[in-house]
Amino acid sequence: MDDETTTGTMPSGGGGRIRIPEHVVFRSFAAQTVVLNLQTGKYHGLNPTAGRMLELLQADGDLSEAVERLTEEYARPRDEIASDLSGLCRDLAARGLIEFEDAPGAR
Amino acid sequence: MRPALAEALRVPAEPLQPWQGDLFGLDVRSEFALEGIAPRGPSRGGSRRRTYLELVDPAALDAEWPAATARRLRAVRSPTGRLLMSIDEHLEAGYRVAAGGFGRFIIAGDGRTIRCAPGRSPVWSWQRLLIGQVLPLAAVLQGLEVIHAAAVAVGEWAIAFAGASGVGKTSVAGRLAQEGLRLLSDDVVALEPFGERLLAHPGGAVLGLRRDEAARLRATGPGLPGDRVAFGVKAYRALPREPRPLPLVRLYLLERRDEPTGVRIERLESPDPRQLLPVTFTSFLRSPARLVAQLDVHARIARDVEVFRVRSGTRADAAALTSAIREHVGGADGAWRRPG
Repeated sequence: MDDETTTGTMPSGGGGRIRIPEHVVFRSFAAQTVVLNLQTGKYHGLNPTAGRMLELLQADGDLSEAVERLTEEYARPRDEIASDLSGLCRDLAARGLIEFEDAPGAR
Repeated sequence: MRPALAEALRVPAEPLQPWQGDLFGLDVRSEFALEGIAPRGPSRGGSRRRTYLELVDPAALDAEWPAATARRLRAVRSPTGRLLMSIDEHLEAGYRVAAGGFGRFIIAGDGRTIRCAPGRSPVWSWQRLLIGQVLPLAAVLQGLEVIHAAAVAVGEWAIAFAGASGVGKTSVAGRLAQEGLRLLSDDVVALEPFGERLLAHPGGAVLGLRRDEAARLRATGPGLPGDRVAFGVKAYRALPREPRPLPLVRLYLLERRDEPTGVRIERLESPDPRQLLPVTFTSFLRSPARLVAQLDVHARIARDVEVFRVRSGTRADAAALTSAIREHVGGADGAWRRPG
Protein backbone atom coordinates (compact mmCIF):
# COMPACT_ATOMS: atom_id res chain seq x y z
CA MET A 1 0.00 0.00 0.00
CA ASP A 2 1.31 3.41 -0.87
CA ASP A 3 1.18 5.57 2.25
CA GLU A 4 1.46 8.71 0.19
CA THR A 5 -1.86 8.10 -1.46
CA THR A 6 -3.97 6.55 1.25
CA THR A 7 -5.55 7.96 4.35
CA GLY A 8 -5.28 5.70 7.36
CA THR A 9 -4.54 2.00 7.26
CA MET A 10 -6.76 -0.85 6.16
CA PRO A 11 -7.34 -3.08 9.16
CA SER A 12 -6.74 -6.76 8.57
CA GLY A 13 -9.45 -9.42 8.84
CA GLY A 14 -12.23 -7.32 7.30
CA GLY A 15 -12.89 -5.24 10.43
CA GLY A 16 -12.63 -1.53 11.15
CA ARG A 17 -14.53 1.48 9.90
CA ILE A 18 -14.37 3.77 6.94
CA ARG A 19 -16.02 7.04 6.17
CA ILE A 20 -16.84 8.79 2.95
CA PRO A 21 -15.56 12.37 2.94
CA GLU A 22 -17.98 15.21 2.29
CA HIS A 23 -16.29 16.03 -0.96
CA VAL A 24 -17.26 12.63 -2.40
CA VAL A 25 -20.74 12.02 -3.79
CA PHE A 26 -22.11 9.10 -5.76
CA ARG A 27 -25.25 8.24 -7.68
CA SER A 28 -26.53 4.97 -9.02
CA PHE A 29 -27.07 4.47 -12.70
CA ALA A 30 -28.53 1.35 -14.26
CA ALA A 31 -25.25 -0.37 -15.05
CA GLN A 32 -22.86 1.41 -12.72
CA THR A 33 -22.41 3.72 -9.81
CA VAL A 34 -20.72 7.00 -10.59
CA VAL A 35 -18.56 8.48 -7.87
CA LEU A 36 -17.60 12.13 -8.11
CA ASN A 37 -14.70 13.66 -6.23
CA LEU A 38 -15.73 17.30 -5.87
CA GLN A 39 -12.21 18.33 -5.00
CA THR A 40 -10.66 17.00 -8.17
CA GLY A 41 -13.76 17.12 -10.42
CA LYS A 42 -12.99 13.54 -11.46
CA TYR A 43 -15.59 10.87 -12.04
CA HIS A 44 -15.04 7.21 -11.18
CA GLY A 45 -17.23 4.29 -12.23
CA LEU A 46 -18.03 1.27 -10.09
CA ASN A 47 -19.69 -1.91 -11.31
CA PRO A 48 -22.99 -2.82 -9.63
CA THR A 49 -21.38 -5.03 -6.99
CA ALA A 50 -18.84 -2.38 -6.02
CA GLY A 51 -21.64 0.18 -6.03
CA ARG A 52 -23.62 -1.93 -3.59
CA MET A 53 -20.54 -2.23 -1.38
CA LEU A 54 -20.17 1.54 -1.35
CA GLU A 55 -23.84 1.97 -0.46
CA LEU A 56 -23.44 -0.27 2.55
CA LEU A 57 -20.27 1.48 3.61
CA GLN A 58 -22.00 4.85 3.43
CA ALA A 59 -24.95 3.59 5.45
CA ASP A 60 -22.87 2.30 8.34
CA GLY A 61 -19.12 2.53 7.74
CA ASP A 62 -18.45 -0.71 9.58
CA LEU A 63 -16.50 -3.11 7.41
CA SER A 64 -17.47 -6.23 9.36
CA GLU A 65 -21.15 -5.38 9.08
CA ALA A 66 -20.76 -4.80 5.38
CA VAL A 67 -19.05 -8.15 4.93
CA GLU A 68 -21.88 -9.92 6.75
CA ARG A 69 -24.57 -8.20 4.68
CA LEU A 70 -22.81 -8.86 1.40
CA THR A 71 -22.13 -12.50 2.27
CA GLU A 72 -25.86 -12.94 2.76
CA GLU A 73 -26.89 -10.97 -0.33
CA TYR A 74 -24.52 -12.60 -2.75
CA ALA A 75 -24.42 -16.07 -1.16
CA ARG A 76 -20.66 -16.22 -1.49
CA PRO A 77 -18.01 -17.37 1.02
CA ARG A 78 -17.30 -14.81 3.67
CA ASP A 79 -13.54 -14.81 3.04
CA GLU A 80 -14.11 -14.10 -0.63
CA ILE A 81 -16.40 -11.16 0.15
CA ALA A 82 -13.97 -9.83 2.75
CA SER A 83 -11.12 -10.01 0.28
CA ASP A 84 -13.12 -8.25 -2.45
CA LEU A 85 -14.27 -5.54 -0.09
CA SER A 86 -10.77 -5.07 1.21
CA GLY A 87 -9.46 -4.65 -2.33
CA LEU A 88 -12.21 -2.18 -3.19
CA CYS A 89 -11.50 -0.12 -0.08
CA ARG A 90 -7.80 0.05 -0.85
CA ASP A 91 -8.57 1.18 -4.36
CA LEU A 92 -11.10 3.79 -3.23
CA ALA A 93 -8.74 5.07 -0.56
CA ALA A 94 -5.93 5.39 -3.08
CA ARG A 95 -8.23 7.62 -5.14
CA GLY A 96 -9.19 9.74 -2.13
CA LEU A 97 -12.79 8.53 -2.19
CA ILE A 98 -12.89 6.97 1.29
CA GLU A 99 -10.91 7.32 4.50
CA PHE A 100 -10.13 4.71 7.12
CA GLU A 101 -10.97 5.52 10.68
CA ASP A 102 -8.07 4.19 12.71
CA ALA A 103 -9.11 1.38 15.04
CA PRO A 104 -7.17 0.87 18.28
CA GLY A 105 -3.96 -0.94 17.51
CA ALA A 106 -4.51 -0.85 13.80
CA ARG A 107 -1.14 -0.01 12.18
CA MET B 1 -34.49 53.26 -17.13
CA ARG B 2 -33.77 56.78 -18.30
CA PRO B 3 -35.41 57.68 -21.63
CA ALA B 4 -32.09 58.98 -23.00
CA LEU B 5 -30.42 55.67 -22.27
CA ALA B 6 -33.29 53.75 -23.83
CA GLU B 7 -32.98 55.87 -26.96
CA ALA B 8 -29.22 55.38 -27.10
CA LEU B 9 -29.64 51.64 -26.78
CA ARG B 10 -32.48 51.59 -29.34
CA VAL B 11 -34.84 50.01 -26.85
CA PRO B 12 -38.32 51.42 -26.30
CA ALA B 13 -38.59 53.11 -22.92
CA GLU B 14 -41.00 50.75 -21.21
CA PRO B 15 -43.58 51.82 -18.70
CA LEU B 16 -42.83 51.22 -15.05
CA GLN B 17 -44.38 47.72 -15.09
CA PRO B 18 -41.49 45.38 -15.86
CA TRP B 19 -41.70 42.66 -18.46
CA GLN B 20 -42.20 39.26 -16.85
CA GLY B 21 -41.73 35.86 -18.36
CA ASP B 22 -40.54 32.32 -17.77
CA LEU B 23 -37.30 31.11 -19.28
CA PHE B 24 -35.13 28.15 -18.32
CA GLY B 25 -36.97 27.75 -15.01
CA LEU B 26 -36.35 31.36 -14.07
CA ASP B 27 -38.96 33.96 -13.24
CA VAL B 28 -37.49 36.73 -15.39
CA ARG B 29 -38.28 40.37 -14.67
CA SER B 30 -36.90 42.82 -17.17
CA GLU B 31 -36.74 46.51 -18.01
CA PHE B 32 -37.27 45.54 -21.64
CA ALA B 33 -39.32 43.01 -23.56
CA LEU B 34 -37.65 39.81 -24.71
CA GLU B 35 -38.05 39.23 -28.41
CA GLY B 36 -40.15 36.23 -29.33
CA ILE B 37 -41.15 35.40 -25.75
CA ALA B 38 -44.74 36.04 -24.79
CA PRO B 39 -44.83 37.81 -21.44
CA ARG B 40 -46.49 36.22 -18.50
CA GLY B 41 -49.48 37.74 -16.77
CA PRO B 42 -49.47 39.34 -13.33
CA SER B 43 -46.79 38.26 -10.91
CA ARG B 44 -47.36 34.91 -9.34
CA GLY B 45 -45.31 35.89 -6.31
CA GLY B 46 -43.15 33.66 -4.18
CA SER B 47 -41.07 32.36 -7.07
CA ARG B 48 -37.93 30.69 -5.85
CA ARG B 49 -35.77 31.62 -8.78
CA ARG B 50 -36.13 35.18 -9.90
CA THR B 51 -33.73 36.96 -12.24
CA TYR B 52 -33.79 40.68 -12.95
CA LEU B 53 -32.53 42.12 -16.21
CA GLU B 54 -31.28 45.70 -16.21
CA LEU B 55 -30.07 47.84 -19.07
CA VAL B 56 -26.81 49.59 -18.35
CA ASP B 57 -24.62 52.04 -20.18
CA PRO B 58 -21.75 50.05 -21.76
CA ALA B 59 -19.06 52.33 -20.36
CA ALA B 60 -20.51 51.98 -16.88
CA LEU B 61 -20.64 48.20 -17.20
CA ASP B 62 -17.04 48.04 -18.33
CA ALA B 63 -16.00 50.26 -15.44
CA GLU B 64 -17.64 48.06 -12.86
CA TRP B 65 -16.09 44.80 -14.05
CA PRO B 66 -12.76 44.02 -12.29
CA ALA B 67 -11.07 42.68 -15.40
CA ALA B 68 -7.58 42.59 -13.88
CA THR B 69 -8.56 40.03 -11.25
CA ALA B 70 -11.08 38.03 -13.28
CA ARG B 71 -10.45 34.53 -14.62
CA ARG B 72 -11.25 33.48 -18.15
CA LEU B 73 -13.53 30.46 -18.22
CA ARG B 74 -14.21 30.23 -21.91
CA ALA B 75 -13.08 31.84 -25.15
CA VAL B 76 -14.80 31.21 -28.48
CA ARG B 77 -12.70 32.16 -31.50
CA SER B 78 -13.21 32.35 -35.23
CA PRO B 79 -11.16 30.07 -37.53
CA THR B 80 -8.75 33.01 -37.91
CA GLY B 81 -8.32 33.35 -34.16
CA ARG B 82 -10.46 36.41 -33.61
CA LEU B 83 -12.16 36.41 -30.24
CA LEU B 84 -15.90 36.05 -30.77
CA MET B 85 -17.11 35.53 -27.23
CA SER B 86 -15.56 35.35 -23.79
CA ILE B 87 -16.89 34.30 -20.42
CA ASP B 88 -15.02 35.42 -17.34
CA GLU B 89 -15.49 34.78 -13.65
CA HIS B 90 -14.76 36.96 -10.64
CA LEU B 91 -15.20 35.68 -7.12
CA GLU B 92 -17.16 38.72 -5.98
CA ALA B 93 -18.42 40.39 -9.15
CA GLY B 94 -19.87 37.28 -10.74
CA TYR B 95 -19.63 36.42 -14.41
CA ARG B 96 -19.15 38.50 -17.52
CA VAL B 97 -20.18 37.41 -20.99
CA ALA B 98 -18.81 39.56 -23.79
CA ALA B 99 -19.32 39.14 -27.52
CA GLY B 100 -18.18 42.08 -29.62
CA GLY B 101 -21.07 43.86 -31.30
CA PHE B 102 -23.63 41.78 -29.45
CA GLY B 103 -22.77 43.39 -26.14
CA ARG B 104 -21.59 42.63 -22.62
CA PHE B 105 -23.45 41.20 -19.69
CA ILE B 106 -22.57 40.87 -16.03
CA ILE B 107 -24.35 38.10 -14.15
CA ALA B 108 -24.34 38.18 -10.37
CA GLY B 109 -22.74 35.18 -8.72
CA ASP B 110 -26.13 33.94 -7.55
CA GLY B 111 -27.70 34.42 -10.96
CA ARG B 112 -30.36 36.79 -9.64
CA THR B 113 -29.41 39.91 -11.58
CA ILE B 114 -28.07 40.43 -15.07
CA ARG B 115 -26.79 43.83 -16.13
CA CYS B 116 -27.01 44.16 -19.89
CA ALA B 117 -25.04 46.49 -22.13
CA PRO B 118 -26.15 45.64 -25.67
CA GLY B 119 -23.82 46.31 -28.56
CA ARG B 120 -24.64 47.76 -31.95
CA SER B 121 -26.38 44.68 -33.34
CA PRO B 122 -30.18 44.70 -33.71
CA VAL B 123 -32.32 43.92 -30.68
CA TRP B 124 -33.27 40.43 -31.85
CA SER B 125 -29.58 39.68 -32.42
CA TRP B 126 -28.12 40.71 -29.07
CA GLN B 127 -31.04 39.10 -27.34
CA ARG B 128 -30.10 35.77 -28.94
CA LEU B 129 -26.89 36.00 -26.94
CA LEU B 130 -28.84 36.94 -23.83
CA ILE B 131 -31.25 34.05 -24.24
CA GLY B 132 -28.82 31.56 -25.73
CA GLN B 133 -25.89 32.01 -23.36
CA VAL B 134 -26.48 34.46 -20.53
CA LEU B 135 -29.82 33.29 -19.14
CA PRO B 136 -28.81 29.59 -19.21
CA LEU B 137 -25.75 30.52 -17.18
CA ALA B 138 -27.99 32.33 -14.67
CA ALA B 139 -30.21 29.24 -14.53
CA VAL B 140 -27.26 27.03 -13.61
CA LEU B 141 -26.18 29.50 -10.94
CA GLN B 142 -29.65 29.16 -9.47
CA GLY B 143 -29.44 25.37 -9.30
CA LEU B 144 -30.97 24.20 -12.57
CA GLU B 145 -29.16 21.99 -15.04
CA VAL B 146 -29.02 22.82 -18.74
CA ILE B 147 -28.32 20.65 -21.76
CA HIS B 148 -27.53 21.50 -25.34
CA ALA B 149 -30.83 20.42 -26.83
CA ALA B 150 -34.08 21.46 -28.45
CA ALA B 151 -37.36 20.26 -27.02
CA VAL B 152 -40.95 20.05 -28.17
CA ALA B 153 -44.20 19.33 -26.39
CA VAL B 154 -46.06 16.14 -27.34
CA GLY B 155 -49.33 16.55 -25.48
CA GLU B 156 -48.47 16.85 -21.82
CA TRP B 157 -44.93 15.57 -22.24
CA ALA B 158 -41.65 16.83 -23.58
CA ILE B 159 -39.16 15.13 -25.83
CA ALA B 160 -35.72 16.57 -26.40
CA PHE B 161 -33.08 16.30 -29.10
CA ALA B 162 -29.55 16.79 -27.88
CA GLY B 163 -26.25 16.99 -29.66
CA ALA B 164 -23.43 19.15 -30.86
CA SER B 165 -23.94 22.29 -32.92
CA GLY B 166 -24.93 21.53 -36.51
CA VAL B 167 -26.25 18.04 -35.82
CA GLY B 168 -29.83 18.99 -36.68
CA LYS B 169 -31.57 19.87 -33.42
CA THR B 170 -33.06 23.11 -34.69
CA SER B 171 -34.03 21.63 -38.06
CA VAL B 172 -35.86 18.77 -36.38
CA ALA B 173 -37.56 21.13 -33.94
CA GLY B 174 -38.55 23.45 -36.79
CA ARG B 175 -40.04 20.63 -38.87
CA LEU B 176 -41.96 19.33 -35.88
CA ALA B 177 -43.30 22.83 -35.22
CA GLN B 178 -44.46 22.99 -38.83
CA GLU B 179 -46.34 19.74 -38.21
CA GLY B 180 -48.18 21.34 -35.32
CA LEU B 181 -46.12 20.45 -32.28
CA ARG B 182 -45.34 23.28 -29.94
CA LEU B 183 -41.74 24.29 -29.39
CA LEU B 184 -40.61 24.17 -25.77
CA SER B 185 -37.09 25.45 -26.27
CA ASP B 186 -34.47 25.72 -28.98
CA ASP B 187 -30.77 25.03 -28.43
CA VAL B 188 -30.81 24.95 -24.61
CA VAL B 189 -33.15 23.04 -22.30
CA ALA B 190 -33.21 23.59 -18.53
CA LEU B 191 -34.01 20.50 -16.49
CA GLU B 192 -35.20 20.22 -12.93
CA PRO B 193 -36.00 17.16 -10.79
CA PHE B 194 -39.55 17.59 -9.48
CA GLY B 195 -40.97 14.76 -7.45
CA GLU B 196 -40.82 11.66 -9.55
CA ARG B 197 -40.47 13.66 -12.75
CA LEU B 198 -37.74 15.51 -14.54
CA LEU B 199 -39.19 18.77 -15.79
CA ALA B 200 -38.06 20.46 -19.00
CA HIS B 201 -38.56 24.22 -18.83
CA PRO B 202 -39.56 26.59 -21.63
CA GLY B 203 -36.61 28.44 -23.15
CA GLY B 204 -35.76 30.41 -26.27
CA ALA B 205 -38.17 30.36 -29.20
CA VAL B 206 -36.40 32.24 -31.99
CA LEU B 207 -35.25 29.60 -34.45
CA GLY B 208 -32.39 30.30 -36.80
CA LEU B 209 -32.58 27.99 -39.80
CA ARG B 210 -30.21 27.88 -42.74
CA ARG B 211 -31.89 29.58 -45.66
CA ASP B 212 -31.94 26.44 -47.78
CA GLU B 213 -33.60 24.51 -44.97
CA ALA B 214 -36.13 27.30 -44.44
CA ALA B 215 -36.90 27.24 -48.17
CA ARG B 216 -37.40 23.47 -48.09
CA LEU B 217 -39.83 23.85 -45.22
CA ARG B 218 -41.83 26.45 -47.14
CA ALA B 219 -41.86 24.18 -50.19
CA THR B 220 -43.12 21.13 -48.35
CA GLY B 221 -45.71 22.61 -46.04
CA PRO B 222 -47.41 25.66 -44.65
CA GLY B 223 -44.13 27.05 -43.41
CA LEU B 224 -43.14 27.68 -39.87
CA PRO B 225 -45.70 29.23 -37.53
CA GLY B 226 -44.97 32.46 -35.76
CA ASP B 227 -43.38 35.69 -36.92
CA ARG B 228 -40.39 36.40 -39.08
CA VAL B 229 -37.68 38.15 -37.10
CA ALA B 230 -34.84 38.56 -39.54
CA PHE B 231 -33.51 37.13 -42.76
CA GLY B 232 -29.82 37.07 -43.43
CA VAL B 233 -27.34 34.24 -43.46
CA LYS B 234 -30.06 32.38 -41.63
CA ALA B 235 -33.81 32.79 -41.47
CA TYR B 236 -34.88 33.73 -37.95
CA ARG B 237 -38.39 33.15 -36.81
CA ALA B 238 -40.12 33.54 -33.44
CA LEU B 239 -42.25 30.45 -32.92
CA PRO B 240 -45.18 30.07 -30.56
CA ARG B 241 -43.77 28.52 -27.44
CA GLU B 242 -45.18 26.02 -24.97
CA PRO B 243 -45.43 28.16 -21.83
CA ARG B 244 -45.41 25.38 -19.23
CA PRO B 245 -42.62 23.16 -17.94
CA LEU B 246 -43.37 19.58 -18.94
CA PRO B 247 -42.07 16.19 -17.81
CA LEU B 248 -39.26 14.99 -20.04
CA VAL B 249 -40.01 11.45 -21.18
CA ARG B 250 -37.63 10.94 -24.10
CA LEU B 251 -34.20 12.16 -25.00
CA TYR B 252 -32.76 11.58 -28.44
CA LEU B 253 -28.98 11.92 -28.69
CA LEU B 254 -28.29 12.99 -32.25
CA GLU B 255 -25.07 12.05 -34.00
CA ARG B 256 -23.98 12.78 -37.56
CA ARG B 257 -21.85 10.19 -39.29
CA ASP B 258 -19.78 10.77 -42.42
CA GLU B 259 -20.94 7.54 -44.00
CA PRO B 260 -23.49 6.76 -46.74
CA THR B 261 -26.26 5.59 -44.43
CA GLY B 262 -29.73 6.70 -43.41
CA VAL B 263 -31.10 7.02 -39.90
CA ARG B 264 -30.66 4.42 -37.21
CA ILE B 265 -32.24 4.72 -33.77
CA GLU B 266 -31.24 2.49 -30.87
CA ARG B 267 -32.39 2.46 -27.30
CA LEU B 268 -29.72 3.02 -24.67
CA GLU B 269 -30.95 0.72 -21.93
CA SER B 270 -28.32 1.80 -19.45
CA PRO B 271 -27.23 5.28 -20.45
CA ASP B 272 -23.66 5.82 -19.43
CA PRO B 273 -23.03 9.18 -17.75
CA ARG B 274 -20.22 9.66 -20.25
CA GLN B 275 -22.89 9.72 -22.98
CA LEU B 276 -24.77 12.47 -21.18
CA LEU B 277 -21.88 14.68 -20.15
CA PRO B 278 -21.11 15.80 -23.71
CA VAL B 279 -24.55 17.41 -24.00
CA THR B 280 -23.98 19.52 -20.92
CA PHE B 281 -24.29 23.25 -21.54
CA THR B 282 -22.10 25.74 -19.68
CA SER B 283 -19.72 22.88 -18.89
CA PHE B 284 -17.12 25.48 -17.85
CA LEU B 285 -19.04 25.99 -14.60
CA ARG B 286 -17.58 23.33 -12.33
CA SER B 287 -18.44 24.38 -8.80
CA PRO B 288 -19.17 21.49 -6.41
CA ALA B 289 -22.84 22.47 -6.28
CA ARG B 290 -23.07 22.46 -10.06
CA LEU B 291 -21.35 19.09 -10.42
CA VAL B 292 -23.69 17.53 -7.87
CA ALA B 293 -26.78 19.00 -9.56
CA GLN B 294 -25.50 17.74 -12.90
CA LEU B 295 -24.92 14.25 -11.54
CA ASP B 296 -28.39 14.26 -9.99
CA VAL B 297 -30.03 15.20 -13.28
CA HIS B 298 -28.01 12.67 -15.25
CA ALA B 299 -29.00 9.95 -12.79
CA ARG B 300 -32.62 11.02 -13.22
CA ILE B 301 -32.33 10.92 -16.98
CA ALA B 302 -30.86 7.43 -16.80
CA ARG B 303 -33.61 6.29 -14.46
CA ASP B 304 -36.74 8.10 -15.64
CA VAL B 305 -36.20 9.12 -19.26
CA GLU B 306 -36.10 6.87 -22.31
CA VAL B 307 -32.79 7.64 -24.01
CA PHE B 308 -32.08 6.84 -27.64
CA ARG B 309 -29.05 7.29 -29.83
CA VAL B 310 -29.88 8.52 -33.32
CA ARG B 311 -27.16 8.07 -35.92
CA SER B 312 -27.72 9.68 -39.28
CA GLY B 313 -25.40 9.44 -42.23
CA THR B 314 -24.96 11.44 -45.39
CA ARG B 315 -28.07 9.92 -46.97
CA ALA B 316 -30.30 11.40 -44.29
CA ASP B 317 -31.36 15.02 -44.49
CA ALA B 318 -33.42 16.88 -41.90
CA ALA B 319 -36.67 15.60 -43.42
CA ALA B 320 -35.55 11.97 -43.17
CA LEU B 321 -34.27 12.49 -39.65
CA THR B 322 -37.53 14.08 -38.53
CA SER B 323 -39.58 11.39 -40.25
CA ALA B 324 -37.61 8.64 -38.51
CA ILE B 325 -38.09 10.27 -35.13
CA ARG B 326 -41.77 10.88 -35.75
CA GLU B 327 -42.30 7.23 -36.67
CA HIS B 328 -40.27 6.16 -33.66
CA VAL B 329 -42.39 8.21 -31.27
CA GLY B 330 -45.74 7.56 -32.87
CA GLY B 331 -45.49 4.15 -34.43
CA ALA B 332 -46.04 2.90 -37.95
CA ASP B 333 -48.77 5.36 -38.88
CA GLY B 334 -46.50 8.26 -37.99
CA ALA B 335 -49.05 9.89 -35.71
CA TRP B 336 -47.79 11.70 -32.64
CA ARG B 337 -48.68 9.84 -29.53
CA ARG B 338 -47.72 10.25 -25.95
CA PRO B 339 -44.40 8.45 -25.57
CA GLY B 340 -43.81 5.86 -22.87
